[in-house]
Amino acid sequence: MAEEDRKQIGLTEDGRATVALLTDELGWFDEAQAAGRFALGYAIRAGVEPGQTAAPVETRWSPDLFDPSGEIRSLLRALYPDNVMPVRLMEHFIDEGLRQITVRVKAGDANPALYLG
Amino acid sequence: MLTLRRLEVEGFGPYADRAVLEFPDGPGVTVVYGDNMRGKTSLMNAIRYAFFGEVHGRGERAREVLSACNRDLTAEGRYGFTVGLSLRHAGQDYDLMREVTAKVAVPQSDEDFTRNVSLRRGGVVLGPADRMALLRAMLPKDVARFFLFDGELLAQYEELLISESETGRAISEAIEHILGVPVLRDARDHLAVLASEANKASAKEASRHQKTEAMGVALAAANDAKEAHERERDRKKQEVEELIAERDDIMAELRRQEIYAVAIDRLDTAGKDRDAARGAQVAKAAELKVAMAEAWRTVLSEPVRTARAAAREATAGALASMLTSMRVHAIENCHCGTCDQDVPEDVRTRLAATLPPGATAVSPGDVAGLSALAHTSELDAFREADVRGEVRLIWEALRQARIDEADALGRIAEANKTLDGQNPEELRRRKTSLTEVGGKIRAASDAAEAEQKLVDEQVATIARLSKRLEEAGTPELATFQQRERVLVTAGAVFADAVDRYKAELRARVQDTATRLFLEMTTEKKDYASLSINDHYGLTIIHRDGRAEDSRSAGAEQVVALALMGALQANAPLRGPIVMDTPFGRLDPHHTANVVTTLPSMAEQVILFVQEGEIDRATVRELLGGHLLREYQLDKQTARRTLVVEAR
Amino acid sequence: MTTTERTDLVGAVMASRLDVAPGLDAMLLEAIVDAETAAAGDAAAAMSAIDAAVTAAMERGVGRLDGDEAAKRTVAEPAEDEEDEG
Repeated sequence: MAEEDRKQIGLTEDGRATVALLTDELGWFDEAQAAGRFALGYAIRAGVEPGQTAAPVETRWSPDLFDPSGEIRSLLRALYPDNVMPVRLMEHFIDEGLRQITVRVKAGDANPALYLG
Repeated sequence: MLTLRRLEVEGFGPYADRAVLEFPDGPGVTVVYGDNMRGKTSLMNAIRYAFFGEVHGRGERAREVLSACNRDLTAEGRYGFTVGLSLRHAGQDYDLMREVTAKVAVPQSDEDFTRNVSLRRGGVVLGPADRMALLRAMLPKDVARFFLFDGELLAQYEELLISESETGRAISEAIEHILGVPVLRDARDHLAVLASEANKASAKEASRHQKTEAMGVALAAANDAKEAHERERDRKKQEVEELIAERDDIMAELRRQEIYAVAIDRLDTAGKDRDAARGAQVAKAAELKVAMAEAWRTVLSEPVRTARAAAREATAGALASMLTSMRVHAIENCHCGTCDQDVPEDVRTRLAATLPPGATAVSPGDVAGLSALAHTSELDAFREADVRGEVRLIWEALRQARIDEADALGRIAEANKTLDGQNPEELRRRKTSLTEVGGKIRAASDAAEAEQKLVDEQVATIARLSKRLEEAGTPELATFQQRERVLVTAGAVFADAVDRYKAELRARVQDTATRLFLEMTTEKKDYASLSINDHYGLTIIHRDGRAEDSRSAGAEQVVALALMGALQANAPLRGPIVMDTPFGRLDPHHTANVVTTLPSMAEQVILFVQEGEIDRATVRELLGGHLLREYQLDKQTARRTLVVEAR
Repeated sequence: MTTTERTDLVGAVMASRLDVAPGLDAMLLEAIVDAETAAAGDAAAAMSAIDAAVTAAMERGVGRLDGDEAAKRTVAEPAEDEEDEG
């Protein structure tokens, strides 16, 4: 496990594909980072344990642009006080969230309302 | 009397392999069961092909022979087919065989096929003239519809109620043909021709004798004039017929044009609907993206609330611990660190009473959960948003817009199909020509009438001159005049007999049709009889004497069946009734009634039935001993069917 | 044509004969019905046969203009008696 936090949030190849699916094909989001935020929230609500993304990632997003108000980082501090690498954590939740969403979409749930609880 | 004994087909329709149906001797019903597209209609078409050498599709239009070739075989490069029919007519057995073979490797049209036909009697092949005469006598083409009944062609029978329709006239003529009227009508017409020839012979003979020369010449001239006017009259009548056919075509076109006008309207409306649906989709898609941009807040709401509650609880716990700790300190040190005052004994006792058992002082740094205070403010800083309702509504609207677009596209496709190949200008032109043709019909009818008047004048002149010739009493003319008298008188008798016979036949057909109808209908309480009009159209009469104006398709079918049975019962031409899915429009009660009545409609009935129309057990029960044999059409593949004897 | 059908046709003709020309030779009229039936739509054959029947009838005296009505009728009267006048 790496000791330093990342500077940028990265997406795996599968994650990039899901983002494209959600934005271009299903038309849920206007831009990729909105999909990323949604996936992060989805993973946290699903109770995904904190961790790190093992798969190779391609650097994509600046944390300041991804979380301009800082709310997400504040939330992560509050929810996961033991975590000291917020960017990797964000990356992990985004990746897990996208994975779970992909499974459901492929099973036929194209209606975004079904994912909102 | 014509009965079918055996039908054999190979390579025809779905019957790639040789298929045989044997029709048992004796009165009764043979039933052939088969689902849709199994080949029931092909068997009917095979019988038609055997008699007439023509392939018919749905409807009565002849199709190319190629269309009847089995598709499996043609895929293998094997074209052609055979149809064989063994039958009995007027007590003699015949074998009719038609064979179609390809002249080229890949035939494209009828010209690429050779067609052979043979009719054998007692094993001896009959010559072409005999064969054609016999086949015509067995089953004339224009009356085939009364023996080979396709339930789908019901509309034709409705034409009988429309006096001016071409089809109606054709059908009434066919009915009169089947009832033997042509014998009397032809006799009437032939006698008139012979009488006219006899008169001309008289005139010619009269002009050879001085006494009667002038009258003879005048009579000959009158005959010539009469014939000239008759020819002109007939020419005009023919013109009227052709113009009526043209008018019928135009009217059919205009009816179709109405359909086109409706189709164009539908196309426009559907186009607008499609555009609106697409616009709605674009708008809703944009709204969805806006709403979903905040959806991350919605999904985090629950975990945040849970965390907030936990943090608040932890904070409350931490504060309580701090308070306890401070009290313990004050008790132990007799001094309050907060207000920097000594704590008297009595106050220490009171404080001690408030402490839980085993309470100790803890250092502020040890108090767990103080960090929860910090977390609470972070959690409180999170701005919640609930977009669930909004997203659900947008999604529903989007889905509906997609459905609306698909529906509109479907309507556009249908409208385009209707309009395919049509030229709006051409259609408009037809409307104008209808008026023109109407004028021409009137003019030609008037001209025919005028010619008829001239014919009548000549007829009167001929009668006058003939009488004067008779009165002249010339012996040389006696034989000529005698012949003419006989022919004219006989002609008058037959003319009267035609009307008399037709009236008698209509009455008989009406009675028989009424009997059959009342057996088959389920409205026996309401309906009293059928009434027949001059062209054999049947109207249902209620018990209160009123005519039933509108009939359901089911009632129409029952009336048509009653007519068929009545014609069979009253016609000199007797043969089998072959019915292809006659129950399509009938409810179960009517169907049961029709099946029960079938054996009384003809000696031999062959019934092609779709399994869904009526089940076998019911048919067996209803027909009882009248059921002679059952066959089943088994589908091997989409293009191949097997005939199996079921019972 | 079966016997029944022929009877029907002849019956109609005979009934018309009574109305239109009671004196006309019944045998001739039957012969014309038979000629048309046998010709089965062949106009030339029918007219030829009718012509022959008329000639035969004329030889029997049918159509002759003499004072004796009986001479115009055939000898075979029983055929008329058997007619169904219904």
